[in-house]
Amino acid sequence: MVPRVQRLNLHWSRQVNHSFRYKSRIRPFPYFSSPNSFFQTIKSTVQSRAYSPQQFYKNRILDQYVSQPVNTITLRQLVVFGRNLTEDRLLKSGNYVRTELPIRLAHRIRDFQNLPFIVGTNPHIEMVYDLYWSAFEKLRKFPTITNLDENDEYCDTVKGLLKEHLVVIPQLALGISECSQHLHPDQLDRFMNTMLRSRISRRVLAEQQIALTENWNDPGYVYGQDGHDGYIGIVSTQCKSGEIVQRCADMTRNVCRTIYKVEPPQVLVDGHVDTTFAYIPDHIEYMLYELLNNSIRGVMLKFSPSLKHVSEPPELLQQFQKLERLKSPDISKDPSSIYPPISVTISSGPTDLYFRISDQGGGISDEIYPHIWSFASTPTLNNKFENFVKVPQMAAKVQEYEQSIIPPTLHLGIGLPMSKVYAEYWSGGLTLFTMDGYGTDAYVKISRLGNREENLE
Amino acid sequence: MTISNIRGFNKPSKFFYDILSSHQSLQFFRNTRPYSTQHEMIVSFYDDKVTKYAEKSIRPVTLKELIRFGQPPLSTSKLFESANYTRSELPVRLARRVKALQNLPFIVGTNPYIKSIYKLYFDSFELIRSFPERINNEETDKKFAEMLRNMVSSHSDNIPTLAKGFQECKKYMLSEDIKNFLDDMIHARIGTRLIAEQHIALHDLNNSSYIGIIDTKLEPRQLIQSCSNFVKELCEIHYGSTPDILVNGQIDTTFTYVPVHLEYIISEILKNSCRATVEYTQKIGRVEFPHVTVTISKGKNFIGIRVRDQGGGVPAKDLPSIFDYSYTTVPQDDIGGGSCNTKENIFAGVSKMAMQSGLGGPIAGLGYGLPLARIYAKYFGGSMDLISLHGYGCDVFLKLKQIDESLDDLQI
Repeated sequence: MVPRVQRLNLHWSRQVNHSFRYKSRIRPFPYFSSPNSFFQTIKSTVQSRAYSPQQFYKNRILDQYVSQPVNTITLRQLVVFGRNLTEDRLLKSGNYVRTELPIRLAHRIRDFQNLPFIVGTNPHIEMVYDLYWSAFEKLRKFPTITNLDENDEYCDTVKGLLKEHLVVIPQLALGISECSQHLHPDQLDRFMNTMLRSRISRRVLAEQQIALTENWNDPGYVYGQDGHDGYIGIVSTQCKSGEIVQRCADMTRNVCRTIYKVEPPQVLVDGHVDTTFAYIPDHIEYMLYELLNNSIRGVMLKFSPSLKHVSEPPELLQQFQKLERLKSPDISKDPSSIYPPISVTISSGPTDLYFRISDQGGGISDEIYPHIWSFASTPTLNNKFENFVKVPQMAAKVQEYEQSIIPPTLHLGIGLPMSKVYAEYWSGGLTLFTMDGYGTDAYVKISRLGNREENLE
Repeated sequence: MTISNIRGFNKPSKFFYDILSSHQSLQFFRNTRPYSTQHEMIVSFYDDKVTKYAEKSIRPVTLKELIRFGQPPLSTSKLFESANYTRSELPVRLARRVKALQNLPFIVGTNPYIKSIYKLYFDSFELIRSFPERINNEETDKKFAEMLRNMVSSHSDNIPTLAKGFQECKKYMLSEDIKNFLDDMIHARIGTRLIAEQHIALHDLNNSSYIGIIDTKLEPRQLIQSCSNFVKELCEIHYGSTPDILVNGQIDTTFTYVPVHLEYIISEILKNSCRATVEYTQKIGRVEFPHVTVTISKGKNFIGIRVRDQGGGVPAKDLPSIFDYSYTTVPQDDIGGGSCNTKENIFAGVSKMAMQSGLGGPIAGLGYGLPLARIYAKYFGGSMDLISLHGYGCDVFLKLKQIDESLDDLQI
């Protein structure tokens, strides 16, 4: 599938760090073994350069698709459709995905075309634009699915594209970061939010179809609510509020314990912990993980500032820690309670489910607070996403942190805005309030009933 | 009282107000007027003093100047400077308020509550206007301060009265217009009272940390504690029991602020929290009352106060209206076309008493608590936000700016 091409010297990949730690770890994701091999593949599959004359005239095809509206779905529709699956239904859903993906891609390609020309010439932006064009071409030419074999073929194509597009988030982040001066912050944020939302929506549709197909082909799979923990494709009808929070909390505490070698603060869960609801676990876990991670790190770094230097040589770290011990406040000797706990409250209303994450990590200062949701560089933080040069691929899923595919000490800067996009996707919300000097409260709201349409605005 | 010397108004305005407090006395009120309605209206219509004063431009005082008046050591020249400023500024501001009231629709202006406020402002305007213009000796200054004191106390229940009045007039005005009128009124009232009370306080110099009514060493914990006690008492009178109110966080914080403002804001928020906690607990059959927690934080520019309760939260559909005037979840008596009648019981009288006690009045029912608290919070550059976790409780985040040099140019 990957044609052999000469090794190209791609100038803008000079900054990439080649000593990836993840090479030696188990990777469930179809990641490429090194960045260069990946970039070669992309370059070879791209049909034509973005700003060639042919592309301009080819655009007429895009107009047809852009003029068609997007047909959004609700979570409930996904569940009901996949619950009593028949061959006919599987093909029907396959065709829905087949027609929807090109339309959604087309809308986003048009967004790219509406960016200022100078932004479009940025190599990172250009790469994503080329990727989208080639995907669009591939997908729109696929004929109607009439039998299961064609469905399998379609799923394979889509699987390949998903794998190829894992670079989109890092590339967009780097490109946007470099183009901050050419775009108004509002325009930039709107562009990124729309891109990410649409990306989630396409991946949801694609992954759902792939999962349904795989389950259909799996002879041992049993449908209905009794089978397989209530999963219908990628949607779980048996998400338990307390359990999910506990799982994310344990995950992030393990990671912090491993890096910092100190017992991280406890996470206490209260409220309506036994609520069962239907949702896509990847989404909710990512949000909770990011927020809990921010809280736990915030608390630990506030009370033990030396931990900030954990990635530096050990002698330096010891020096900092010695200084700290001299002036540390009187905290209890009990190792498990050296830090004030994080408190997560779950509240289940008639239509919505809330998660409130409260920490005592010192809060967010007034200079930073207005910009926490923004993708634009701020006066104080010039190159917001510079760490993405070390992260070539990102699926925005919790497993990447769990298995250290993305180095945990790296501050990527995209956790909060990405979580907000996830939350708002099914018309939920994510708000954050801070008390400078004390701590922060994050509120995640998700719809319980699953009857909200996808939010693609 | 000097007010009785003013031509045309033989009775003190406070008397009018007391009489207006109960419905049955309205008839009596009409008959005890010393002059006919007709006569009074003619006097007011052709009397253009108000218009003349209202047209004068307000000379806004910046916070810096106001504080400068009261900075120790206090000399008599500074005292007279403050007195003269107050003497010249207040009539202009009061005249503007009178004019705004005159511009209300006629039917609204005839509502007895609104009318009483109108008379109150008119009387106060006349009172100050007719005071000697230059204050340059102690005698005059003392009289002036005494007059201001009386005036400030006579205006202290304006908000509940206005609230009742507008509740009755809801159907005669667009809620948009009511909102704009009240926002202006309350904003102006805060400024006017600030100027008046600053000057009065210069005569009561007993506390070194105070500059007028601004306390430079205000301890939020202490203030919240006293507000909690007041609200808990109110809750006991009204419901028979009350939840606990805990204070935590950076409790040793001190900052510079106007204590009365903070008192008002905190009382309103705590009233809401306590009421919600009690009613929700009863509704879901909970055994114990969960605490209401107040957390204090001190940041670089702002003091943060967070009030957290488990009172069931606000339903999503009602959330946009909580900051509207006259939005309340208390069932209304059938006054101006209200809905259900509350049952009269032996505690109703006591709770009506509670309605007239203390700072803000009732524990709930006027629908003014939240919008008012927000205006107060925003006055010195702060903010107030409410998050509701429907089915669990509410969090209110209050951010207050320290009154320091950064607010020097804030115009009052």
